[in-house]
Formats: sequence, structure tokens, C-alpha cells
Amino acid sequence: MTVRPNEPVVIDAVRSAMTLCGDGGFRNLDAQQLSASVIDGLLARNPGVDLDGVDELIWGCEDTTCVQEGNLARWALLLSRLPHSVPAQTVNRLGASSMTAVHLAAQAVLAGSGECYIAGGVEHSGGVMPPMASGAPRLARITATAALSRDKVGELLAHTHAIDRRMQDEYALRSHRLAQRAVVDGTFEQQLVTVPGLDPHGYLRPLKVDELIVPDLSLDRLAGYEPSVRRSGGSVTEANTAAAADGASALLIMSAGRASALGLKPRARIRAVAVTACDPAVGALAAVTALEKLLDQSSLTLTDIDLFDIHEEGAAQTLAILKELELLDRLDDSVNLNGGAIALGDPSGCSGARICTTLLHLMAAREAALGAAVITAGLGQGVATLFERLDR
Amino acid sequence: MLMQGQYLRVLSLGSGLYELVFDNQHASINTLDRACITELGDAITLLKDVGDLRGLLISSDHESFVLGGGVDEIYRHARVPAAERRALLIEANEWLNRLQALSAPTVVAINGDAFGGGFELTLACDMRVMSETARVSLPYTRWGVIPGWGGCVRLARIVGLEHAIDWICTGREVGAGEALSTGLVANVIDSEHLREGALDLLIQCANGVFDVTPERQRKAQPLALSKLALTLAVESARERLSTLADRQNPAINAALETLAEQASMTAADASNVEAQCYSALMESNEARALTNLYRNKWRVKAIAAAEIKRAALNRIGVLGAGVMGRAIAERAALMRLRVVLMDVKDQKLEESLDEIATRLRTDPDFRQLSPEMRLNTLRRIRPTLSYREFSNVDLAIEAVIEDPGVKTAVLSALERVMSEDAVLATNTSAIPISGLARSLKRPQQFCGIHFFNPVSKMPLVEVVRAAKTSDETIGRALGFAVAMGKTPVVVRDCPGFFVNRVLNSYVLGFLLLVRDGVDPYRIDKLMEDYGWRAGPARTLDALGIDTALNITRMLGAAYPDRLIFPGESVIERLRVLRQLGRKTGVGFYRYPEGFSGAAQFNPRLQEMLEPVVQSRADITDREVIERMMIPLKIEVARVLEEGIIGTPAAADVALVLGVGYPAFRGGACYALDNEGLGRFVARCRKYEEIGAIYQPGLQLREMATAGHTYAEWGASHDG
Repeated sequence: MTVRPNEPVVIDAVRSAMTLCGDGGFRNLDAQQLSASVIDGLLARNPGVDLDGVDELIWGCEDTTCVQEGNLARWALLLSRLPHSVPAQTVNRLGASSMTAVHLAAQAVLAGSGECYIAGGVEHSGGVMPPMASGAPRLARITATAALSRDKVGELLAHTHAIDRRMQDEYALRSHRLAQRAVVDGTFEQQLVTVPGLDPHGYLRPLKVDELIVPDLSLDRLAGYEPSVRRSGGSVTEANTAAAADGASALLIMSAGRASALGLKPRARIRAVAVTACDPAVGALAAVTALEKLLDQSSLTLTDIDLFDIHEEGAAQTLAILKELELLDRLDDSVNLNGGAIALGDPSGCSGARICTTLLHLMAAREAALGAAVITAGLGQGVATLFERLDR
Repeated sequence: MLMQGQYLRVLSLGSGLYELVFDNQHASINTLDRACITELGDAITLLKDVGDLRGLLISSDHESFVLGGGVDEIYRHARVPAAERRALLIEANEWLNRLQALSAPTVVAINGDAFGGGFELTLACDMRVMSETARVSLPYTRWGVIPGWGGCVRLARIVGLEHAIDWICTGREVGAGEALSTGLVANVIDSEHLREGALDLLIQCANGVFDVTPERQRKAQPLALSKLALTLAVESARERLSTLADRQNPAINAALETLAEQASMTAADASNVEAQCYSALMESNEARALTNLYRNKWRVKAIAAAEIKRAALNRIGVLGAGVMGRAIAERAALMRLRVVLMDVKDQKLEESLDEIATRLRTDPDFRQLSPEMRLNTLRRIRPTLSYREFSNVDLAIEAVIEDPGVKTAVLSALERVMSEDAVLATNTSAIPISGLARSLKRPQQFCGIHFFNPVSKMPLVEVVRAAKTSDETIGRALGFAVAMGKTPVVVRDCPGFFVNRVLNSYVLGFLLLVRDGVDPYRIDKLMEDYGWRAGPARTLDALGIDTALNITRMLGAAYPDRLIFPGESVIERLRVLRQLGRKTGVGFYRYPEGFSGAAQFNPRLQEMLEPVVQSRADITDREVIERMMIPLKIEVARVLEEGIIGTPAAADVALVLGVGYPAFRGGACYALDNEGLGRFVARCRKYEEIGAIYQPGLQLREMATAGHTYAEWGASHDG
């Protein structure tokens, strides 16, 4: 395989542990410091990078209020080891923010604007006040404002795609089991950087534990949860959807030329990126069109892709996407083999980069050639990235 | 002046601009009665033909904008022959359609409240401008129907399906802030500059700066929502409506279904769907019951208003900073009264003020208050440890513990310091007040003012007349209740007054059912499906099992031949186990997170029921409902017979507002009349073996034999 010098490649991808919101392990931090710690962790793993040669930090975040407001990326950069001469921008595409950050870095490399970027994102909701009310009173003219509610959309998809409670609970159980296996067999260890957090007693510890995974989860326990939206006959619960979490994730993206000049071995090249949008009422289905566009652009079909990471907003959403793509048959071989956000939690501004990170490490472990990551953003947007492994 | 009618006038403002001003010559409010509709039609016909029409401004010369029909009009409208109703419906819709189709832009200045048809009129205009204090609402479901003058069709197309469902199904009032943020109105302007601002907007529209064509197109088309978005909007609204207190009101569901169905149609087809639903609902028993209740409420308020003495009521005193005392003080301060709040414990006063401050800041009910209003509310409450502060209050109300000795002592102490002409009141819910009056020097200035818990939410107040209470005092107490924003009913002193006495019979019916092996949760479900806000078990948990037990014991002692429960009841068991309902976190239900948590089944309830259940007969759903409703209706009849409450209308209003009786069933007297007293009395016979609460009183039996109704009885007692 020949890689052109101006093609974007991923040198490394890391993430922090995913911790509980509010009283979790990162309750001592805020989004700025958590971001800086993960960026520093990434730089520490890649000593060959010339810090002055970084062209920009591109950083995603969804709830850009309170401590996450302003240009969060610049705050994070100033707190990190990166020199003050490196610029930084914050990107917001709601839940897909950090995947869009990855895309912007890849596009900048391709366009020749620069050759070395750090892209990723963060969400640390403990430091953020919840929004006062539904922020879209005029949306009702155009669509259902209920489209802002993940759980209500989940119920609708469960209805339209005939996904019952048991299927959702089984999927949630699978997510926790696979994530737990990745903890036990050391898969996650490869992608984690330590961040100083607090243990349950409040003592400072280098934290590397994904707190939300429930190792001994059972279908019985899942069945015990009350439906969140439809009190009678509902199927979406707190347990079969992704919980909010704190976390950050970062990718080091360069031109193939810069990588080889520095003697760094890329993990993968970014072969294609795609963004689509659809009816906000069933926004999760934008993942389907984003994936299709991604494949169209690279003249590939679904069968060419070895591994998928489909962001787990909730089991209903993920199963609806899998049904639309007719991927259910390949679930055991190709889809979310390290679990997903249902087990790990969903720090929204971080999740796009987080699934890229998990996918890239899984591709290496499985020696897969092609991997596709796809995530949706609220109100009907889909964002997808195609990676091709290079460290073969 | 182009036209000067009885209800409105049309004038030219020059350069092709015209103004239609609602200015009712006969009353202080503008209403869209039949005659006004006809004039509106004339005005629109006239405007259609003026050659130079470039724009129309619609405004009002009264404090409110335009309200729908008046109370009597609405009552009458539900009772006229269907053909007459249909004719008015067609006529009103025709005029509003023509208003919407005028060749020039229309702007309406909503200077004050626009309710019902008045609001629907504004929806036919191109642009709406609203004053800061104005409110709009479509309260039709409260009358058992849905908007019929294009309200469903136009509102859904202007603000979207979800807001339309919310506003129409709940019938709630919408203020300027929400109207602006949802896009209902183009602008909000202070009252002083409203007309000027509306006229300015009209000129902009007439000059083509703002194009009203897209808005008109939007009103004619199906909604822009995708099929899936419609499903999502409707299903999530359905879920939300299932939590409404009056969710069993058939008009609410009909409104939801109509709004959903018409959303994907053109406006012309949608209007037909709306009209069909409106007409069908107008024929329903529920519409008749609700319009009757609406008129009764209005009458009860009118009677109170007539009795209100115009004596100054600026400063009130509240003694006792417990749950009730602090809630009364808070409410009074919110309603702009100056309040002296006294307690013997400094700490209690401090707690009260802290709690009120916190509630003002965090309670969703107070969200619309400005920080300044919150601060002023707090400032109106003056805490004190001394009786001396009561020397210049106009009315004092004590809310100390329910102990006759303590109450007698504090009432005497208050009377000593209060001025000669001030009113003294007690907020007891159980103690007969004539006894409390005995030790007072000025018993004519003493009465009961019974607020219900929670004060901020319960709309009813019982003003209790003791043997020596003067009319002047009753008038001032009514004035106070109205100033507190409540609907007062006057009741004569008797154990339990009206509300608790009637509620007690309903509770006894429940306890007897439980004794006979019927599951309390089944009874709750049946009564909630019947339309009660809460089933009896839930009501008892909210009231407090101990409080409920006190009331049943007190009434049992007062009416030993009728109201004593035979044997041990389930609430006595709960009382012994200290499972007192919401306040202890467990009663019939479990309340996991204190006051805000949703009720869960109490897994140990069956075990507790074991000793009190005496038989397990097969009792049908219908029998359960009858065994709950009959004792209540019988007790209402007895209370009327004894003259405890003045009229059947007042009784029905008190039942709905104070007891939680299903509004769409009109109240007990209405339901009795509707069924026929003879048939009701006959129906009671099946149950009379169960106990005296199933045996109708003398007057009810006599009225049944004579074929009389409570409506006639009420009419003869009104004068």
C-alpha cells in the first residue's frame, strides 16, 4: 500500500477512564484540567513529537457553558504541556463534536494547511449547570421537540423497528460483558492514559478505571428497571441506554510525510470522512446514511469493513441502526467488540474520539484492515470515519 | 368612522390603514357573543369592500382584549339545539376565514387577556403583538369541548403541534414570554406603547418590509412535521397528558386525537375534523356537566364578591409558623398583603422565612417571578415573637396545633391586643368553632377560615360561620379568601365542616370495601379511572393517616348512629404501625424519596390488611364504584338538608375544588339530578344492609318521591 505524503494518518489515540458524573473519580477536576491531562498523556506516549511543530489543538465539547464555555480548547492547551504558540479551537456538533474535530484535523492535513494536529474532545458535566428548559421553543413548528430527548426517540425507534424490551436489555448486557472482557484481558489498558483522580475515599490516585461497567450485570437486574418515558409499556430504561459520564479522548494526527520525517509509525490512515443529516425525529438513523456515504466515497461496501464501532446512545438506537444496515448477523464478529457507551458511559463531547480510539486499538489487536466508526449528533446528524490500518 | 356598532367600531387611520376596535358598550369586558359575531361579520364585509385597504389593525379599548363567550353564553351554548349551535359555528368560522383572507396584512394588538374565541380571533390575523401582562388561553377542555373556531387548526400551524397540544389539552394560560419564545407573537411591547408598536408593524407589513405570505401559506398547508416527527410529538404528548390530574376528562383525549389527525391535512380538511369533534363533544354529558360546574363556580364567586365588605384589608396576622401558618403567610405575601407572622419559637420563624425564601427561588410555580418580586414578597412578611404586633392587623388567623385548649388560649390573647373592629379567625380543620368562640368577648367578629394543605395549590377555602358570627365578619373573611386568590364557600359550623365531613363518608365507603376484601390499589385504580385526581388510599396518604383517623373518630363521635366504623379499620392498623402516609414515607404506598418521589406499592400492605379483612366476596368494578360514590352523595344531601352549605351549586364547587370530585361529572348534586333522585334512591337499596352510610336522608327520599331536583331546590334557595 502506498500512502501519499499529504494523507492524514493517526499516530496514536488515547482516552481517559470513563467515570461517573457528579461524584465519580474525576470530581476533583473540571473539563479544562481533564483535557489537559489527557493531552499530556498522549504527548508522553509519543516523545518523538516536536511540540512546536503542532499546528493546532482541535477539541470537541457539547455543553459549552459554565467551566466548559468560552474557547475551552485554548484553556485546555494553556494548562497542558503544549507551547503557548500552538493555537486551539473548540468544536461543537453536540454528541459528535470530537469526531468532527478529528475530521477537521484530517481535512487540514489534506488541504495542506498544516501537518500535525491533536484532535479529540471532552465532557465533564459535574462542573456544568443543567440547562434551564428545553432550548428550542420554536422547533415545534418544524418537528417534534421531543426529538431533543434521547429516550423518547429511542421509544419511537423501538416501535418503528420492532425492538422489544428484551432485545434492548440483551444488547445492554452484551455491551457490559464485552467491555468487562476488554478490562480483564488488558485491551483497554493499551488505550488508557492515567489522570490523577479521586478514589471512593477521596484520596488522590492515578485513575485508569472505567467506573460505569457493571461486571456482574444480569438480564434479571436489567429487567428490574422502570421504563424512563412511557411508564406503561415503555422499553427504554436507564440501564439499556448510555449514562452521562466524565471523560476525554485525544488523537495525534499528522501528514504521512511528517510522520515519516519524525520516524513515527502511524497506526492507520484516515481513508474517508462523511457527515449526513436526516429527520430529527429519528436522528439516530443519520448513522445509517453517514456510513453509506462513507462507503460510497471510498467505493467500498459494508462487507469490505472488518470492524465497526457504532456509538451506543441507547440499545434501541443501536439496534435500529444495525437493523437498517442488516448488520445484526455480523454482530458477534464485527460490531462493537469491546462494548460501547451503554457500558462505558457517554461523555458526549468526548465520545466521537473515544470510539475512534477504541476502534483503532481493536483493529490492531485483531489485525483488521478496515474499520468504520459512526456516531450521531442530536437533532439528526450522522458523522462517520473510515480507518485503514498501516502498522501491518 | 366607518362603522360604530354596539361591540366594535371600524375607523380609517389614513393611507389605506384601518383599525377595528373592540369596545363593548354594554359591559366592561369584550366577549364574542352571538351579536358581537354578527357585528364582526359586518365589519369584515365592510373592510373587504374598501378600495384602498393596505392594512388592518385590530385592538381593544378595554382592559382585557377579547374573552370568548360570557359564562351564561357558554352555559346556554351547550344546551341550545344542535342546529342552532351549528349555525353559529359555521358563521363564526366563515368570518374568521374571511378575516384571514383579507387582501391586506392584519396585525392584532393583544393588550390584555385573550381567552377562548378571543384568542382564536387573533390566530386568524397575520401577526400578533402582545403586551407584557396579557395572557392567552383556549380553556375549552374545561368546558368539555375543544376549540371550534379554527383554534386547533391555526394554533398547530402557528406554534407547532406540541405547544398546541399542551395549550389546548391543559387549557392553561400562556404569558407573553412563552408566547414570544414559541413564535406565537411577533413582538412583546409594554402596554403603554403596544398600539403604537402594533401600528408600526402594520405599516412595515403594508410597505412590504415584512411579507406575510409565507405565514398565510403555512396556515393553509399540512404541518411541516414528518410522519415520524408527528408520531414522536403525539406519543410523547400522550405520555405527558397521562399525568394530568383531570386526565379522564374525555375532551382532553379528544383534543389530542383531533390535533394529531388534522396535522397532516390541509387547513380546509382539518377544519372539518375540528368541527366534527367540537360538535360531537358539545352533545356530550361531560360538556353539560362542565359548563354547569363552570357557571356554578362563577356564581359562588359572584356571591362571595357581593358579600365582600369593602373594609380595608392591608395587613393580616398569622399566628403559628407551622406548615399551615407559613404557607398562609407565604400566599398572603405573594398576593401583596402585609403579613405579621408570629410564633413563640424564634427558630421556627427563622426556619419559616428560610423555607419561604427557598421556595420562592426554586419552586417551579414561582419561575415567572422577577428577583424583585421575590424580594418584595419576602419583605412583606414581618416575623415576630410578640402579640403586640397584632394591634394593627385587619384580620388575624391562628394556625397553631389542633388542640382546643391551646387554640382557646391564643385566640383570647389575640383578641386582647387586636383592634376593636378586626376579624379574628381560626384555621382549624376539625374542631367545631362555636366552642372556641365561647371564651371570646367579641364572638361576632370570629369565624373559621379553613385553608387546605398545600395552601399554594388548593383552590378552595371554607369560611365557617359560628353561631354568633356576624354577616360583616363573613363578608370580610370572604374578602380575605378572594384576596388570597381562592374560591370561598360559606359553611355553617359542624364537625368536619363541609369538605371533611363529605370526604369522611367517602373514606368510610373505602374502609368498608377493604374490610370486605377489596384490594386498596384496585379501588384507587378504579376511582382514578372514574376521574378522581387521586384514589382514596392515595388521598389518605396525602392527608396523613393520623389526621384522617382523627377526622373519622371525631365524626363517628358526632354521629354515632351513622358514622362509626364497625371494628378495626385499616387506617387504625397503619396508625399503630406509625405508617402515616407521605409524611413518614410509607402508608398505603411507599414514597422512596420523601415528598417528591413517585408512589410505589407497599409490599407489606397485604400482610397488614390480614387482620382487618373479614370476607372476600366477589365485588365487581361497578359495585366498587357505587360503594364509593353512594355514601358521598348521600352525605352531600344530608349536609344540604342541614343547611351546612347554602346551595347545591356551592356544594358541587366545593366537591370539585376541595375534595377532588371529577369535574367532568359536574359534582354530586348535578350527578344526582342527571340520574334522577328516584333512581338513585332505588339504587341505594341494594347496599343499605352494609351500613347507615348507604341509607339516604329524609329530605333526599322526599325529594325523590316528589320528583324534585337539586337544580330546582337551588333556584328556590338562591333568593
